[in-house]
Amino acid sequence: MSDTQQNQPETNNPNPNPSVKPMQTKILYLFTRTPLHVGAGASVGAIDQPIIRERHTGFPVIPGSSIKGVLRDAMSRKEQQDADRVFGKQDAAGAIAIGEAKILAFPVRSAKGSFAFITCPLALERLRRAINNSGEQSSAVPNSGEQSFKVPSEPDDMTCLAGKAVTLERNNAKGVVLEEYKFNVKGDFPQNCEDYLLDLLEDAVWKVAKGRLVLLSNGDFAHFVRNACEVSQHVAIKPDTGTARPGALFNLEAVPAETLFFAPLTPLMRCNEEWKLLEALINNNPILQFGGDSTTGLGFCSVKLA
Amino acid sequence: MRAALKNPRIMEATMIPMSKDVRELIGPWAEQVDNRALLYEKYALPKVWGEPRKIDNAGRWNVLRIVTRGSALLSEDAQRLRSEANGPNVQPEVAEKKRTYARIAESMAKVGKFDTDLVQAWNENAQKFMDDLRKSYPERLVTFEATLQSRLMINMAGGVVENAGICLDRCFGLPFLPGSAVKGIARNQALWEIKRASGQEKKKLLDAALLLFGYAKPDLSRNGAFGWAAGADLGNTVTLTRGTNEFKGLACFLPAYPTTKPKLVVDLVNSHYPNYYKGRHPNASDNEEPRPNYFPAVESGCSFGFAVVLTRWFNGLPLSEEEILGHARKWIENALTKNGAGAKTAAGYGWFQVGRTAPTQAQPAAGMNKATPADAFIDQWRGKLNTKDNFPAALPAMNQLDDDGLKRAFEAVIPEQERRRLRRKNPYWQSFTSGRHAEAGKSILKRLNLQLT
Repeated sequence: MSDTQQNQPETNNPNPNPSVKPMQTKILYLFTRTPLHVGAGASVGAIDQPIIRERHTGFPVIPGSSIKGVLRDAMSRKEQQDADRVFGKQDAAGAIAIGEAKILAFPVRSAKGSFAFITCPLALERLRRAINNSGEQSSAVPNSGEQSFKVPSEPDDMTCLAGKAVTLERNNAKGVVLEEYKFNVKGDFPQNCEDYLLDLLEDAVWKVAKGRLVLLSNGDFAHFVRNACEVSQHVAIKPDTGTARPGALFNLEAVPAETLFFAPLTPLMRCNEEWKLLEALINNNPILQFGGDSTTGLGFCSVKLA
Repeated sequence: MRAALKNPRIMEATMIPMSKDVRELIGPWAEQVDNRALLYEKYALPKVWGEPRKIDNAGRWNVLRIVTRGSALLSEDAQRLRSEANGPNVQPEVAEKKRTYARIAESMAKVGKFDTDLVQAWNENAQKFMDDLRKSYPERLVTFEATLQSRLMINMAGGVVENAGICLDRCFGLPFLPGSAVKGIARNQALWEIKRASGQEKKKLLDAALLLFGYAKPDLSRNGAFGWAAGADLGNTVTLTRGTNEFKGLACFLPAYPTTKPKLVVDLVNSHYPNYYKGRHPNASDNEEPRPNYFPAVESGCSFGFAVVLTRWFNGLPLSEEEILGHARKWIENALTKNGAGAKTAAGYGWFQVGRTAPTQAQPAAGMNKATPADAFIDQWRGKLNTKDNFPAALPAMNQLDDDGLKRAFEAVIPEQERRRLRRKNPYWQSFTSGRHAEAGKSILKRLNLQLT
């Protein structure tokens, strides 16, 4: 993980004609303002309604098709023709490729500072790779590397790099307590990485992340995103008796509010004016709703394209 | 290990279960933990653990540790126990037990400092969220504030401490109303209003509710929610004649976050007849020892921001967006002000007033003290409207009450045996239909749909 800086950006130039300046990938940031439930259907486990996760890491994701559907729906409410141009219709493919939203930072309860935003080298590396594909760090821009950040090497399991606001010092021990686990602090969360992440959003709660970022090993991060999601119990009430309806109890898993995701949006070769329509849509709609159970307020996310 | 168990101080230092490395960092009593939700759910003091005896006060102290003045209250408990232990005629083992408990209470009084800047950030966040929603859904959004007039409890049944749960935001440790709770009380209110309405009004309310809350096939059956509320009228609504028997609600009911600084307090239910309720005594006699159970509650005076968004819309619906949102707002408001939200609403908890207002009374059950004209009427006339007294004098005042009030007053002040025999020849009912106040009396009977036979 430590030598990732040497990895070359993937060279899938969207435009083979060098005289035309290629349009670059942009990153869509999604910050959950209420819990998010992108369901994975029913389950036979303890949780009746689990969320969709990446198979190999267990990280929660929002599929690209989900994001595309939400964006398309928002646009078609204003202008159906625009939506068809940007997102396609039968016999006319869309002009934009929408990637899966991957997790970047996840809120966990902390003994000190009330809560921490955890992240891991794998999540950061994925963000950096997506940025490298975007205009921001294109090789054509000199010194563009300074705008980005260096992915720190992976800490050992049960150790972390942590901000001051969540670090406890007592009896010569220095650590962070997340839920019921202790992590030894091996150093501060890297400054340039924190600066970069904090600049991504203007949200009041995200600004509180200053000093609350904690870098865990990929495995420890996976533990929390697998096991520290919200599980809420629901039951139906019979209106005539006011008592619970038998057999109607279920529990529902959701990604907690204040989780940060990112997804790459890439204009395809045939994309021209469509990109502006998409940018306008996202700029004019700072909140969009993703996933299920919208009627009970789930899935409202701040969105930003950068 | 045996030796350690004999030393009460060492034993006390491991009474809150956690691993050794965590204990070293946050202290044996989790005194460094400053997240209320975490403290309450992961670092609670068990009733039985390490100590051979059951710790009676564990439940109370767990609650005290997370409430706003908790540290001071725990210190007071410690002081009281200590002075009791030093009192005259105390058995040595009782005194020792009290001293141990005093030490535990004192240790638990050292709680982490809850960060007030975070409250500020969260209040600001709630505000910005509303502003952003307005940009994304202009004219499809209704927001308003409501202020608690009594204490509030939500998710009481959940949690680690039995029947003493509270809905706290995980990150901030602050109370809020989940969207499902807001939708639930609004829908319940709508169903009852539909049930009580008739004619065109009933159909209108039904249309609005079907569109707002959505429905699935079981809701439309005779015993389903809408089937129960609407009865035979259900088939005639505009919405259902469109031929679908499942529909997702147009409205999103968002969680209500506090817009002012919330205060948590300790509250209790005190079971006076524990053995009677357990079936050990045939009668509830007053010589049983009361058994207090403590739980946390949100103190009255805190304001919450409510929001409903229409994320879906179609042309050709029987109601306009404005009308639909108007119904949503009214149903939430009626539910909050007339039925309350959360647990124990029948005991006066969870009652609100619309707007950001000062609390009328900083006491539990304040919601019950709101004197409506109907309540005043009932207070004045309860037990007096028998055949002996000159009861027809009350009829004009009774007729002035609104429909809800009239119904309540009628049931409260007219003796039950008279209400069961609605005979024209009955002297009681004759005073309704003839005499000086006959006009008011007849009007009351008509408004209540009562026919004398």
